[in-house]
Amino acid sequence: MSDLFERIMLLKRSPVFAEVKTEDLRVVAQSLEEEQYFSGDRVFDINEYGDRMYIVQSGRIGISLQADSNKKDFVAELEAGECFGEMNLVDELPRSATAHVLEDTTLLSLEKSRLRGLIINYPELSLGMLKGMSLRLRQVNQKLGN
Amino acid sequence: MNRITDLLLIRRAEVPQVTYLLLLFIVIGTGMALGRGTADALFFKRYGIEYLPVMFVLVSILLSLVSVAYAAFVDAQPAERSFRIIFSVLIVLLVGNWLLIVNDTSSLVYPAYYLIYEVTSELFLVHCALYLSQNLVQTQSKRLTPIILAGYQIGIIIGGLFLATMSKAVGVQNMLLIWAAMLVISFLIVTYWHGRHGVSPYFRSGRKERSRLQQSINQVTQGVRLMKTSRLLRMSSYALFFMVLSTYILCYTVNLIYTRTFESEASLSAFFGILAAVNSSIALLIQIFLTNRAIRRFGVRHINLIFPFTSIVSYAGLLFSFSLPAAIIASFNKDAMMPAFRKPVRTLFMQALPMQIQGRARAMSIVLVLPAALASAGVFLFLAQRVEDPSWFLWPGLLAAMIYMFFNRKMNRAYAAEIVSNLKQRLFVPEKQITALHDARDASLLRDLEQGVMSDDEDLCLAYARVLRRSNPTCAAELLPERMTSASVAARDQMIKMLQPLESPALRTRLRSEIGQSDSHLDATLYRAMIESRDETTRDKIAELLTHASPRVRAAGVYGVYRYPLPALQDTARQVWLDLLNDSRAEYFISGVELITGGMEQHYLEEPIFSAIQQDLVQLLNAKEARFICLALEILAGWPTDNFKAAENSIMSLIGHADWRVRNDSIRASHFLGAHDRQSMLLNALEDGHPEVRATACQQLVATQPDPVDYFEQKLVDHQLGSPRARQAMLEYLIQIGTDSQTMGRICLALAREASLMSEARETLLVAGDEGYSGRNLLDNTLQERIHEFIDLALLANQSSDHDEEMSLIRAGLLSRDRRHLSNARELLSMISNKDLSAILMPLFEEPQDGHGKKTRHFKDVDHVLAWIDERSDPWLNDCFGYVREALLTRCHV
Repeated sequence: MSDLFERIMLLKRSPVFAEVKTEDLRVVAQSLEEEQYFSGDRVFDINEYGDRMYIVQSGRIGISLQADSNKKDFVAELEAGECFGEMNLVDELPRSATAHVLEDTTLLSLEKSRLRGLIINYPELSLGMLKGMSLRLRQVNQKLGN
Repeated sequence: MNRITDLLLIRRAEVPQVTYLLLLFIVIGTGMALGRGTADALFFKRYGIEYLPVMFVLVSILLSLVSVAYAAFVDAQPAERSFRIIFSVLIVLLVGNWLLIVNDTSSLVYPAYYLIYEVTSELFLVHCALYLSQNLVQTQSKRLTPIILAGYQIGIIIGGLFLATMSKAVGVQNMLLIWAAMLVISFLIVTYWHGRHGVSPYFRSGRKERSRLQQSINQVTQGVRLMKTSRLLRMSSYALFFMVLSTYILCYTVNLIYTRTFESEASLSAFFGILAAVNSSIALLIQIFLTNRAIRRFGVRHINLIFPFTSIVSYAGLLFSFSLPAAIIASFNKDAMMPAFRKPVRTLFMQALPMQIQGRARAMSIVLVLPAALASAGVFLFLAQRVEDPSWFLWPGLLAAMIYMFFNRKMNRAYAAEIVSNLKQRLFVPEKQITALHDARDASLLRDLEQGVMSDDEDLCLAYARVLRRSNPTCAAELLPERMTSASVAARDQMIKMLQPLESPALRTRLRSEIGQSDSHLDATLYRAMIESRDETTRDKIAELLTHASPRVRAAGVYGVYRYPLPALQDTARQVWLDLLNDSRAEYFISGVELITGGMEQHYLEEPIFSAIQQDLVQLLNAKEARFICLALEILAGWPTDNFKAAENSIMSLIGHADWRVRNDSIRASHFLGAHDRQSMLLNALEDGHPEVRATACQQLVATQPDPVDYFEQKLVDHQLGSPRARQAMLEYLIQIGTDSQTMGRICLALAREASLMSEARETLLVAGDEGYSGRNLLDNTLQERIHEFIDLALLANQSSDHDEEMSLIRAGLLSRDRRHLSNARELLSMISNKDLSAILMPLFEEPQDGHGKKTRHFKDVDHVLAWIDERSDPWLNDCFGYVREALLTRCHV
């Protein structure tokens, strides 16, 4: 039970789900899969087609934009509670970065088709997601404006 | 420190900004006090008060010219940059003026200095308001503007005291340099702050495509044009005109008395200093301890009437006694009541205007309204001063004050309308015209629908086809067959169903020609469509259909026998049907079962068909595919008896199915359950994650109750039943059936109280601190969500009894998360006719109190809150409580 609630709070911290009501996040939290990675692994490579988003439950992930996925020139280092690959939940485009595992890491992943199923059965979920994405877009616009 | 900020209603995060603004306004205020006292004293004593009316006219002309220049810059750049330019120009002018005075160049330097002061004071007044509006949102403005303007008053006190004590020692003319020094300090403060914090957060750049002069003239003319559309701007401009007229007549009157009373320049200057210090001290106390609270307590519209009232009283006093005490009272009105009440209120009123027109409105005020009023006051006083009797200008002044009061009342009425219009421009509020889509007579809409139907994307095509079918069946009957030629079999199947009944013989002929062109599934659909429209050609083929290889076509034949009807074939048809139902292959028995939903309801009750169907239904209820389960449930929803044990058990388990359609159909078929089980199932279903399921549960609950309105009212008011979404389902039903406003009013208040209690519960948890575990964070998050949801529900309930549009706008403003819309929504809420609702909800719109400010009334401590949450019949909140309890216990053990 407590694991479920902790996952809900993790989801709430991700921009995609930040505006979804906690009540609706319960079904999303139940659909998360735990994945174990070890230091030196890559979760995915740039330009690869992906079908899921990830939330770091523990450990550390480095994000690299280098075309060569072996290069470890990180633009961001993600820690517990941070998420990546979330845009793949809605678009069909290849990954825009490579995710390197910097230390032994547990990720929670959410697969696109599962999310779609959830959205059909719990439509209010999508309203919250849209709101979250819209807010993120605004933030980016504001940053660009500044 | 914390106690001071709490007392002044300043949030923790706002302290640096308020400190900055306060400091800036103190320095500006100090300079302005020095300017006021010295400009008046030097002009009255070295040039002559008899020229004051002429100065008013000159000020009005100069003000217009300077204002055009001001308007050229004001919208194009952030207010802080304009501040720096104004400061720089003034420093140069003051130093130049001082040099001319000390060199005794010309007596004209005194009117010049007077003009500089007058223009500057008006320019600062307008620009400070603009600067605040670019840095504060309206909710902040209401709390902070009086405090920040109090800074200005502190400056006036400091400047006044300095003038009173130092005029003789320093020399009146040398005060100009001290004022210039204050401006240098102001310049540095503004530069430092914006260097660190960037441009004003609510600054929106105006257009820059034309020359600045042209642009500034445009701004003024646009401001005038905006007066036609904005009633608030129109009324506030009229009010401003009469306020200036009344105030300048008052100003002339009191200065006349002072100049006659005090003989020397230094004594007059010192008196002005004392007067400024005393009036500003009182104004300051009023601003800090009264204005803010008065605005919050009585609303901005009531406070807007205070200054006109005190102006009328001042004139009455002067008419009663043309003496120093009456002049001091009038000065108090002008120098204390005006900054304490009129200025903060005017700033708030201006902020109700859309942001993009605020600059134009201010520019128009300062370029046109103010100078026009000032010139009118000057010309009038110039004529009136020839008569010795002061009542010649006091009576017209009183009249101007009364007209000012009149327009302020009009302004109050325009205020709410302006906020509504502002929100309407910014927010989308769904209206009933969406249903007009179903009545598409508009040519462009029809064209869009046609284009949609012809789309290559079949999902899109079918969606548009459904709308077209509802809105314009004739057009659909022409277009769909055309689209069918290039559609997939599945899409054609859907379109044929949409075309029924096939009224036109030509359409029937066309569709008949399709039979045998694709698969038997589509053939069956085509036969059904033909039979449905009693097509004579198909009638002759029914016997053939009964022996067809495809079970679906055979089922269509059975349907044809009953539909036409064909008594000679009925025994055969019954046997074919029974064979289909008894066949163990899904395709066969489903074809037989589907007949029940397609118009055969009155024929399946006969044995042995009835028993066969029951067996098949049990099989379907246990199927994996949701559509088969839904088929069975659909049939069970219209089942003639309530006695079907196998179905009863299945329905109880299917309510938890992952597919919402299954859950929804289970509810429709819930009549098999016992009254208690059904009630409990339906109440649980009100909490479902899909709104359709909740609506269906609500409809089914209605069917079980003799008085559904009373039942739902009890659930919503007395029992406080369910989560917000469950309550929303009940509420929407009540709104839909047009429940009376008294009942809705009671429900609305109950929901608002629930929101208030949730807010108090959250406050209590915040006050207790201890944020370090996720259970607490989750509960806090959930409570926040609940507060918003209950506020929205209360407004929704009120929507049916109060102004529909205003309520929609308040709800949309609240949901927008935009601070400006939120603040406008709150303002609108304060003005609704349901004062009880407004009184409960208004405090909930306040920003959080940093965890220590607000005292709660209902809850004693955290345990009390948790016990209260545990008592709620809100499943998700209860779950969160369980998690918090578990987390707390774990912490205790650790």
